[in-house]
Amino acid sequence: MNIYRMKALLLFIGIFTFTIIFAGEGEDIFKKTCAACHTIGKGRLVGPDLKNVADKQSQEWLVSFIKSSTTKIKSGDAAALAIFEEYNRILMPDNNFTDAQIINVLNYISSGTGAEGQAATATVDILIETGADNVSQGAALFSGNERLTNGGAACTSCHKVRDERVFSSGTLAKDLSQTYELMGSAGIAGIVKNPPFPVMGAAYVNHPLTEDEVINLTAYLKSVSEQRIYQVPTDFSLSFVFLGLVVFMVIIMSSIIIYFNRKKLAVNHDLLSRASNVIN
Amino acid sequence: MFNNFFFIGLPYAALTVLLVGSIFRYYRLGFKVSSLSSQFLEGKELFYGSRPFHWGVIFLFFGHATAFLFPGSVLLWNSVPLRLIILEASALGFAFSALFGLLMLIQRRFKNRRLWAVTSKMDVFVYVMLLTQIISGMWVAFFVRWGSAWFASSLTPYLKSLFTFNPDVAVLAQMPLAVQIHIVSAFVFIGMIPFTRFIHFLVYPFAYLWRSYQLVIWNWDRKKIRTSRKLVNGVRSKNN
Repeated sequence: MNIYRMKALLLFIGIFTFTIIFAGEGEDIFKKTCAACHTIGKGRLVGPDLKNVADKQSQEWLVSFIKSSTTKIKSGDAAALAIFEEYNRILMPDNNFTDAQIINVLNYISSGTGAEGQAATATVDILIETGADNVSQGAALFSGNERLTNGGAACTSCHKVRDERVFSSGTLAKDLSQTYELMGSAGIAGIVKNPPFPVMGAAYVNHPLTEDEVINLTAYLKSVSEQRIYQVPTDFSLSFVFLGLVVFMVIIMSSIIIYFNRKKLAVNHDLLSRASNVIN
Repeated sequence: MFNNFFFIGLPYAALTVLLVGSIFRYYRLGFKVSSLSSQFLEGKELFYGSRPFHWGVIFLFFGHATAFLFPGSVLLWNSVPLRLIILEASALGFAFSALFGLLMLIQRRFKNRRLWAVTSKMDVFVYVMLLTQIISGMWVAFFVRWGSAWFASSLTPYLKSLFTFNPDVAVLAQMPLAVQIHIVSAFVFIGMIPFTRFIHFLVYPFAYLWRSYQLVIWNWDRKKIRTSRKLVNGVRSKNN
């Protein structure tokens, strides 16, 4: 084969492979990060349906919004504010992707291949066949009374809800009492299955929830959302500090008792006391 | 950019300085690989500062180390809500202990001119560092609950990513400011170990745990020495 043809063929294969890899990257990122809240042509979930999104905004605007929607909203951008208001004032988490990675995702969305591949989670309510059992199992999973199958941390590690049964609520992340109203069952299930938030993602990437657990937790959050106005949970904050102070007192008393026979004064204490008028 | 600086650059710089600086200090200033004791100058208040401080700090250090090295065991322990509360309240109690001890030590050092004479600028820096670390830690414990759970599940992967030279700061970038301050000050703390009294972490005096106190015995009449005008009293020792 002619050497130039050979080079052209190798160049073509290289470019083709490069394109496939990076197109694959766009799909990969979309499925891992975006699909929990967005669909491509299957309707809105937590965030907007992204079909034809490239026709609505410029690529530059989309890249900056995806990188940090918070910054865009705070800058007073009218389009960003409109989306923020329309989607229940839920902020999309900031992303550390490069411009090239975001463009790959946008290309994947524009290609339309995602629309056929995406499960129709937007149209089927996963809570259709659930009942009180699912809610109570979800409550046990949420509060940690029942351990998650794959060993993930209980939801109360970071979240709180307005429910008298849950007394050890975490405060790192959002209060989930109204989540169902804001996101619906599809939104909750999408986030729980495939968390788009880095902190939550890191916690469950090696401890994914099972399908049943996702359904039970979603059913529980729906119940919390419906029942929350009847709930008067006790604030545990002050009790927590009080318990901490009790432990502190135990430590102090223990150290005094354990070291009771210590030599309480320095060997040369008397000597220094006499000299203190001069030195100190 | 700031995230990369504080959570990638700073940790690697701190660990490098710790390694190189500690070796340097050991070889060049071997006798200074310790913490200058002030017990001989003041011992009574030292007890009420040093004991609670060290008990608190040692418990908290091993607590953090356990969540880093054995995150699964911490998550297993926390899987029962009551056990989570016991762990968190204990940690808060030890934090109170460390804070109380540190405040006692600070007031003791500032109040006593004899101690102030042997206090270096780096000792003041150590107090500022420790106060920052303890107060930010307590802030996190109270306002960003439950640290033991999310540390094991979300921060341990970040720390592991540092040690596998594949740093991922996405989690840290989303954490509240108090957590970020706590982590940044921890890395500054690690980097300053070779230049401060923190160096005594590296030389554990385990024998002190069971050794009884040492009594200084004078083999001459102390009263006579105090009143003597001679430079050397009694029999001059032959070994110096």
